Amino acid sequence: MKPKSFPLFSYAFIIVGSVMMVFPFLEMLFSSFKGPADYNRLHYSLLPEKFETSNYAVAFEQLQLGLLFRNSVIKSVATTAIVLLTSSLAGYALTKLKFRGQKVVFRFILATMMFPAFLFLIPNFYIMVHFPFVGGNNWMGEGGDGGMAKYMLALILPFSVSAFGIFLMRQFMMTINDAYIEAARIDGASELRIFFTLILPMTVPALATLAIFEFIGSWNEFIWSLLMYTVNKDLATLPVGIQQLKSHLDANMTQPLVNAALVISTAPILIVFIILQKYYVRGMMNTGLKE
Amino acid sequence: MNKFASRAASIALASALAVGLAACGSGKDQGLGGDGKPVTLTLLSHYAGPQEEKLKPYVDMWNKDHPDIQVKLEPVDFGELLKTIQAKQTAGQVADIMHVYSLWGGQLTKSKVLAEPPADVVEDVNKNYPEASIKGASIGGKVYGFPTEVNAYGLFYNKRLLKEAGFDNPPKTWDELYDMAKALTKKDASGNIVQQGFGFVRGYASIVDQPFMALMATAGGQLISDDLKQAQLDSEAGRKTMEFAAKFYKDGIADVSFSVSKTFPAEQTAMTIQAGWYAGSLQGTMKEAYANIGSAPLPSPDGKTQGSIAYSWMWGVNNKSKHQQEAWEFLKWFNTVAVKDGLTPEGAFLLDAFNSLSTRKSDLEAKPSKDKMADDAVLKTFIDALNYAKPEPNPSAGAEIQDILFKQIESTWTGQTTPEAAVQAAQKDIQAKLGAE
Amino acid sequence: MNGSSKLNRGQALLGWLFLSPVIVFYLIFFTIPLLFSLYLSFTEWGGFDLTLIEWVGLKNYKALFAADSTFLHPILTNTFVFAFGTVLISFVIALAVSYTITRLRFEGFWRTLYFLPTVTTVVAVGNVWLYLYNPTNGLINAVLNKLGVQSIKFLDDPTTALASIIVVGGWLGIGSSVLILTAGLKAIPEDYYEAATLEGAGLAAIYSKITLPLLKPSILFVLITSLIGGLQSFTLSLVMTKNGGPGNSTNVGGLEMYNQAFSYGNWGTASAMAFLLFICVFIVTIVQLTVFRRGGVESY
Repeated sequence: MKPKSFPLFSYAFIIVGSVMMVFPFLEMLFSSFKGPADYNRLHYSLLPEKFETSNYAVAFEQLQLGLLFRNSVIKSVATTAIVLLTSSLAGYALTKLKFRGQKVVFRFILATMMFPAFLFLIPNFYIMVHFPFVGGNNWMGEGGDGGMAKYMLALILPFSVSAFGIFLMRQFMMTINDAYIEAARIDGASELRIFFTLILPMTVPALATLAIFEFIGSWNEFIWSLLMYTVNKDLATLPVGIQQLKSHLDANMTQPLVNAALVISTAPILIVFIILQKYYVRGMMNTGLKE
Repeated sequence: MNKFASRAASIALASALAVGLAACGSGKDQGLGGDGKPVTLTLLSHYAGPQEEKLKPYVDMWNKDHPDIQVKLEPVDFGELLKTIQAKQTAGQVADIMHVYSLWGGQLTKSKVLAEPPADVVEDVNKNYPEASIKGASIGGKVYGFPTEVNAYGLFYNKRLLKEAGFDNPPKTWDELYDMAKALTKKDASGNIVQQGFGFVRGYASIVDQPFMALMATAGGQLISDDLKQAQLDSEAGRKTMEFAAKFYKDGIADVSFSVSKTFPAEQTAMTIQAGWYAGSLQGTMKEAYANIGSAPLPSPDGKTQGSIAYSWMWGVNNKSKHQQEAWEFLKWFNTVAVKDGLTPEGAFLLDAFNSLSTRKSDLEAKPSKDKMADDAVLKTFIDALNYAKPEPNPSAGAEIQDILFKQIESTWTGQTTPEAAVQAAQKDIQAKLGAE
Repeated sequence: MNGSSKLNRGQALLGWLFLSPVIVFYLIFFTIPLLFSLYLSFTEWGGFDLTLIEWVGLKNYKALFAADSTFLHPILTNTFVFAFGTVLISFVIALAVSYTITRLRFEGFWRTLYFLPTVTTVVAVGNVWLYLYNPTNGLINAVLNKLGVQSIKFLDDPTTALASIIVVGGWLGIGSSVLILTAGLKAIPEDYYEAATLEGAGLAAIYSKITLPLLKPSILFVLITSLIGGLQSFTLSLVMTKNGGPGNSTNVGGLEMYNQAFSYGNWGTASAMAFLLFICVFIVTIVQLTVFRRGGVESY
């Protein structure tokens, strides 16, 4: 059995740690029930003096929650699905198939992570808006009134491949025993079948992990969404919408309101995390990120 | 190589546009009027939420009477306004009418975003607005639109706190300000301030820079010369101001972490420097306690000089708009025609949304404005200040210069640099930015 | 490796086929933008109108290395301190936490709790901590005062501002590192531990001779990705100290380039900064890879 190393000490350590982890979230949760006067009081208190649900009412009213939620869900689900696919395909190609140029390609992909995302903002913005044949654009990408930015695809495409995802899937797939694949090949299975019916199921924990990161990352992504929003109001996602609630004059007055909106926005990803965790854990037993 | 590329791009763009226009027929921006189809103008501003609701009735008023020129509102969060203008411009989505902060003016004209107004607009502005407003709506000496929110700085003080310490009147000189603040500051046993005699508002560049420049004006100086070529921070006025401002923190009268924005309405800071709109905000937060608030012109070193800074917003038209003439038509109506109790739509809107007054002479003469001034003594100080306030300078590198000054000022407050060193460093950097144009 | 060349050709074909979406993506959304940005870094551009781009050669780069430029110091030094600080905090704590929770019950529950910060947006996190750090009525100072310690100015004090943000950054990174490290930990077969315990090995020996070595690939993954992220991070700095903090003490590369572009309209300078930052990230990553390769972690 595992070495029973001071279980009491371990529990204490973990509990203290988790309080510190959870506390800011609780602070956000409780202050969403405070009014601005309560929030700005001179002496700190976690719990509100008076429980007010008005912030939630206002948040629901001022945010177009329906639109925001719909956009965020579509965008995050689609992005995650696409990334899972592209990452596992690439990860497999880089580990289990053998051909020249493999290492170079991987190093290139790794290198792409090292460039500040800022460098891609405006060029990609321009590419989206002047994408040929879309949104009224002609073959040169001119003439329309928004190009790809008129569609949800503009929020998804620039994120459809993730170097992090490829990195993760590659690491994981390296641990899969080649014997399985060779046996399948000898049995006459086609490569595509091998990939979809043999490999993918074995990589479920990695896929779940990647899905968690991708979904959350996509759900919370703000800068690119904001940029697209400036040219197409219908593409608003939750982070963009919540930003509008802040008063620029005195953020402290609107913080409880913003917190309410944030709680609303965080709930779904928490649920997604809890669900995906099951898959993540289940498969971790025999396989995993190991050499 | 660059000229070739951009010329190639422009030719390609032009031909593509031609093909596009021909092929695509009815786009969303209809023809240049004249063929009976309505023109839709987009109005981009940071008036969102409740403010947008106050703006809408006046826009609807216009839309009803002008079926051929319709105005559509597009509100954007203030923090994103400049970026949105940038992004839309790059994307070829032209917002015809824009509400811009004058500090951005330099940057905007450098990138040829603002269109020059027709002569009658320029004439109207020159005739009907105070000096500070005209300058606020000008870039490089040229008027580029109608001034809207023009806010000057003054001294806000808590009458009750002052009276308790034995002061019946607000300070008139810098020395008085210092002495009174010293008397008013109270600390607890561990040395933490519990009542702050005087503090500067902190938080972002403009709110730190503008009061500073206002004080500098009372000392007879200005940050940048009128021709926007010379940084004048290292003048005697600049040095004096930097030292004076830092003194409060150095001598423990004020504390950077004792937030003025929180404690002034809570009546724990006795005096501060803020702009006219703050009166309305205080009224909302303090409710009955607002009766304790008074305002006065800024104290000056000699007790006689009147000085202040005014920052402004303005309506401008996009240089790339296909309907500039129509846009100016709307703006002329919005800013010059009396529609309600003698107020122009702009005047009425400012009153409704912010409880503040437009600076147009006719608006100030209108009954609602006069009533408001009679009602609210605090506001009067700021209206008067408009007569002697200097406009915030807006060179091309305006935003950057603002940040440079902001960082140096705050360093003197946190004790990181001496006022003298801060002045030298800022002067050098600001001059470099001014020279690089 | 199988011998027949037909199989090899087939694999190569399939390999490139599987990689094709990735390659097309990087061509459109990476290579073209990168080239454009590289071009931009040699120009001056206000950001509104593409026809107003002006070539200035090495001027932007030279300016960044000039004596009075703030880029190398404090901005770049802040960036490094921030990145290494946050990674140190999050990695060490995540390592300890992962190790511990794999030995406790309700592992999933703990993992969820530790992941909570990552689930909330950086913006939300920044605002909450801003509030906690408030010198006048924040919780941390309230607790300190109760303990008799004088209030610390945290974000208002140039000497403590960066450290304050590093704490938040580190705190944020714990959850994701825990996720990866627990996966790696679970992959270590039980038999190794059993054999070691049978042979009488103590905890420290087990940890250093079995756990750590077998965990190396996961550790490398975590370190590389968190450092890359940390060096480019700016949202936290933006939310908590908008303009780079008192005396520029929290201004990091990512924040400065963002401000240069969007607030000042200096797109050329911003792009130059971004490329310099890339070089830093690249060097740091290569160093890590080399160090780990010496330690036996191969295949990079």
